[in-house]
Amino acid sequence: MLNQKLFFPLLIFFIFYLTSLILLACLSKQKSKEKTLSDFYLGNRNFGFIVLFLTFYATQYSGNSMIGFTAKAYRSGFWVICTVTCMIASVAGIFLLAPRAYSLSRKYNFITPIDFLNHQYKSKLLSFSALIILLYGLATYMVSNLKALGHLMEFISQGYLSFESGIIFMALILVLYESIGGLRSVAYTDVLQGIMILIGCIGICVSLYLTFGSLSDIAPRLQEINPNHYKIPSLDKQSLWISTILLCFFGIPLNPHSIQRIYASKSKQVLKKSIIAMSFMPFFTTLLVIILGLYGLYLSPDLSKAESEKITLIVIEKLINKNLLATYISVVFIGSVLAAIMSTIDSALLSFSSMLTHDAYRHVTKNQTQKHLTYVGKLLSWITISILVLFAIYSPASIWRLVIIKLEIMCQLSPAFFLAALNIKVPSKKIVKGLIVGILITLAIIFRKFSGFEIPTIYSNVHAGIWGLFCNCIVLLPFTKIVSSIYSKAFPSSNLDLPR
Amino acid sequence: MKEAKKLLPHIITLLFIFLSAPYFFKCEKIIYGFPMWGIYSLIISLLLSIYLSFAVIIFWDFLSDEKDDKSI
Repeated sequence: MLNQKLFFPLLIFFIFYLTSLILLACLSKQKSKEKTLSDFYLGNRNFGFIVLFLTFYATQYSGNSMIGFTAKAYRSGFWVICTVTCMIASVAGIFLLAPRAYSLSRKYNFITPIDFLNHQYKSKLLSFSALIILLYGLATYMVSNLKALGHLMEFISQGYLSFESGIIFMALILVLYESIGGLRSVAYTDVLQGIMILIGCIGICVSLYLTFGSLSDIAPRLQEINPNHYKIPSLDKQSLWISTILLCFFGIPLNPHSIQRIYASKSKQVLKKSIIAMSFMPFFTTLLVIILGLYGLYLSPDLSKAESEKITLIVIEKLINKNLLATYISVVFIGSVLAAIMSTIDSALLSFSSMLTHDAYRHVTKNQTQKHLTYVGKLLSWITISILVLFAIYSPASIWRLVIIKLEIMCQLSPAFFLAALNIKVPSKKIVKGLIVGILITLAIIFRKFSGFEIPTIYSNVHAGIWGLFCNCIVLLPFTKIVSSIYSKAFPSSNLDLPR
Repeated sequence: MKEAKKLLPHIITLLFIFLSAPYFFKCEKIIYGFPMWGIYSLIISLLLSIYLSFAVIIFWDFLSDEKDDKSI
């Protein structure tokens, strides 16, 4: 149960926050000039630095980053520092895609990431496969964040809202403001949410420092609780470390909402500045939530795995009991967790509906007006969120696991995107072959569990997705050319047709 | 050759990623509450951020490939 001292400040903050979201959405509606997909889904490609940077920032940090990383730090200790590199690596991935994606999006009016692939490969099969994978990735992402939202709402409303009603209430709010102003509305609310995340993370760590002492002060106790947290990770763990970062490097930049923010930039300069600023943000967000997890270990060392998922809220409880002044910053921090979750879901939902409308519906029903398509996009948002809310309420898997599986599958698309960004000509058939092999290997490793063998997404301390990507690249890259040239030299008379 | 050059920013990024794990660390000293290997990893991460800031400026036009944007 939530600390009584927090209830009223949090209630006032919550009402202010929800009102601001709706007001910002109305403001964004006034700025809308035309009813086109470009205006609704990309804010007329006119975002300046502050809006673009903060919408990138708020979207990149999800419920998993704010709650999941803290819980991981509580359980695994300093090993989780690799997530700082993970988040920077994901920005590096965005940078490697951005230059060409941005310049082509201006020339050819791209709306979704599928347009980028379509332009490069002109393959319906590849576009369709990419559409299914990206929609799956977005849906999983939204379900995991909706689950986190439900738990958070249940906690902060002191049980007045159940897990289920918390999800339904907040889903209604976000689909409402999204329908009002599209990406412009989402980005304006992200500005507020991004500022909240930044202030919340810095504020809570300063409060912890002032109340319980520095990390150096608590280090001896942390060593006593679990000396392994300070030990150099074993080679197995380091292998997993690299694998996790690679998964983020190849997977996270392919989030459709990240690519759409590249398209939405006002200018090349604005986009460059936003990416530079983003590359430093993990030090002010991810690192701080890891430190929060370590303070959690210091304050409540005996939690079970399930209880440790709520460590963020437990630390806040302890902090307020010790330091009354920390109440207000705790309110902002809880607000920032809420904001991180909301901003991720709204962006993902908008991307989801844009791809359904632009890449699926538009092709099925040709010659529709932009106004009609925009209307359909809004309708699809409502239908999508209704279905996902049901999934979030009834699906059993944990938050972290859902996100991991999503990245494993999505990173199989990375060769297609990265080669397109490099403008390296590869036949689409090869890309599809690689994709199929990559996904099959990944799924085979993940679902071994169900065939009676032991364990799941990690094989030999490397994620299934990375194994899949490795095989994907073997099929795709010049390796096949080398094999075929060696083969043709060894057996010149052979007319066996090896893949080229 | 041009395609190989374009891979340079990717290779440098991957290099930073592989360097971020503390393979060769033996020292378990604690500095400011962090284990030494953790500080090392954070420094490599910071260097990656700084590299990215320069890479965005240096490689952008090269990677955007604006003159050659015809698809296959």
